[in-house]
Amino acid sequence: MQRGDEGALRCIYERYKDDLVTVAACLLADPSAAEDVLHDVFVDFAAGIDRFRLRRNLRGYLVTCVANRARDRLRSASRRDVPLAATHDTAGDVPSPAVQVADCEETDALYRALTELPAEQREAITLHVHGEMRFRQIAQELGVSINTVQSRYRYGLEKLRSLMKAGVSS
Amino acid sequence: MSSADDIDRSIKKLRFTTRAATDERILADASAALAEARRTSLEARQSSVWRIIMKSHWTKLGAAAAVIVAAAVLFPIALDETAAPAYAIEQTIEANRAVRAIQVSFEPAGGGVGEMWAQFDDGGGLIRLRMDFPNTPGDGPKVVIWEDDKAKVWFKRKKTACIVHERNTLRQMPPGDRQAFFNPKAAGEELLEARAREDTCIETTEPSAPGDPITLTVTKGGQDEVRLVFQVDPETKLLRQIEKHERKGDTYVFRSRVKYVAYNASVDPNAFVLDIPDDVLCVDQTDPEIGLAKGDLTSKQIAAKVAREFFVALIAKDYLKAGRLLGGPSAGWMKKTFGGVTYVRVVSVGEAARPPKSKGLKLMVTCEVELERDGVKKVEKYDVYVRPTYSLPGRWAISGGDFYKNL
Repeated sequence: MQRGDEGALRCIYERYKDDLVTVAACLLADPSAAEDVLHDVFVDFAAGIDRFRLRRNLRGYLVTCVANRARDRLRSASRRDVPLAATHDTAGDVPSPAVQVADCEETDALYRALTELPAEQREAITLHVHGEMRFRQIAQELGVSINTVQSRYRYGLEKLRSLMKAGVSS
Repeated sequence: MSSADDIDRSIKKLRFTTRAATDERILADASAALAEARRTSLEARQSSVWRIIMKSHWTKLGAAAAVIVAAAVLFPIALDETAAPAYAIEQTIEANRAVRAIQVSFEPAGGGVGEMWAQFDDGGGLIRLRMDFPNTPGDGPKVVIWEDDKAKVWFKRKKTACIVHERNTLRQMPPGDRQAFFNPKAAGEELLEARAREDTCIETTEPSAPGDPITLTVTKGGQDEVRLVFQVDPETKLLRQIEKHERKGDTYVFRSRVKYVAYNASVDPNAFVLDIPDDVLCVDQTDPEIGLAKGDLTSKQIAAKVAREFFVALIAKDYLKAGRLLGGPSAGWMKKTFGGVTYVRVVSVGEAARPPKSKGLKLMVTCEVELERDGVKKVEKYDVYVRPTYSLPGRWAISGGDFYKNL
């Protein structure tokens, strides 16, 4: 790809796009914005290929890029005091641009519950489960202790469980 | 769904995918970015001094510091609307109009201090520049002087100096910062764009005690969050210092510091003259006769031709030509280095080939040359490396080899 091979770019994109858009959709609680993040990450990746040096696995690198971008968007949205989801038509009868693959009632409910978690808990769960990152890696990326990440993950799961239970009983 | 494992598994089932139209858009944009990156990379290989400078970690920081310095001089131009009421950035803009020379020290995170002197014309254009880089692991201290579209770099420890064309310094600067160094208008446009993206936040703090500076904290968002802390002299309204911090997790980590040592101070004109000792090898790549023109030859053909003509020139004791084929050393240095051996004839010139593990444009040519040393004739085998010159498009010259052995 560093020789400008478009085939290599396409191959990388095809291989990782679904993993990455899933990570972005969960982090942002907004599938529409997830596609934008995926777009920006890949365009930046291609633009900076000359300076790119792979220090660990490519998937991990791209997941980190997606997480950073998603964090930027969340931060920027909070500065504007406008919920990110409110800037996109993701609810109601407008179809979401990013398609949820396992589109069944349970996963739909789970995604809705996930979007209700605090961003930090959602981040810990998403990076660990979908990003396949170890808690230590997540802690390093976020600049917090491993205990903090593990707590966020644990509390997040507990809250998810209670949200799901409340959803089932209601 | 009672256990953590259950919910874990359920979360894993959450999968999203993109639409075909999105894939098309992303791939089209990414391909365009890749093509542009490739083009820029090839352009950058044509030159130049910044490529040479950037080879060292220290100099990277130094050059970055220099960019920050000049960008800082120009920085306020784009920020006028965001100033706090008590201190107006226009005051610094106005003060900067009178700046014709700056002396700066820069201090990267790794320690040590470098220095830079720059002189500007009335329009803010750079006239000349000198940067002194401190002793650094790898290639030691360096001096860079730029004037009249030429850059001279002296690698003190390596006892080597290099003169190259540098007509378009702006283009050799790191992307993003490059325009800011010498071009106030471009710097302003870049910052306006940044502000339009709503990723730049500026806070101004008035001095709490007499003599204390006014502090501007500029936080740029984006993927690599950067915080620049400007200290402005409350009386002259000129900048005293800039610190650069980069975000690492929840905190900002110090990266570099730039101090304005003097404004408009007179500088000894000799400071802009590269006064190198006699024992330093000076390679002048601005000589238009360096190397050989490739013309219609293939890369392998021109590489073999350059290697052959190099030894032919040594046989003829044409040290000027041999020096030009070697990339620019003077005839005097060539005679001193190669004059102790009598080159008799070229026995063979092998086919040019890419050296093992080499990814660049360099080709290796193996030559057999008969030479006479101390009355004894023998045939020596040399590997000669040939590549396109950095500053003369279409010309190829020798970039290295083992023909120095046993001299």
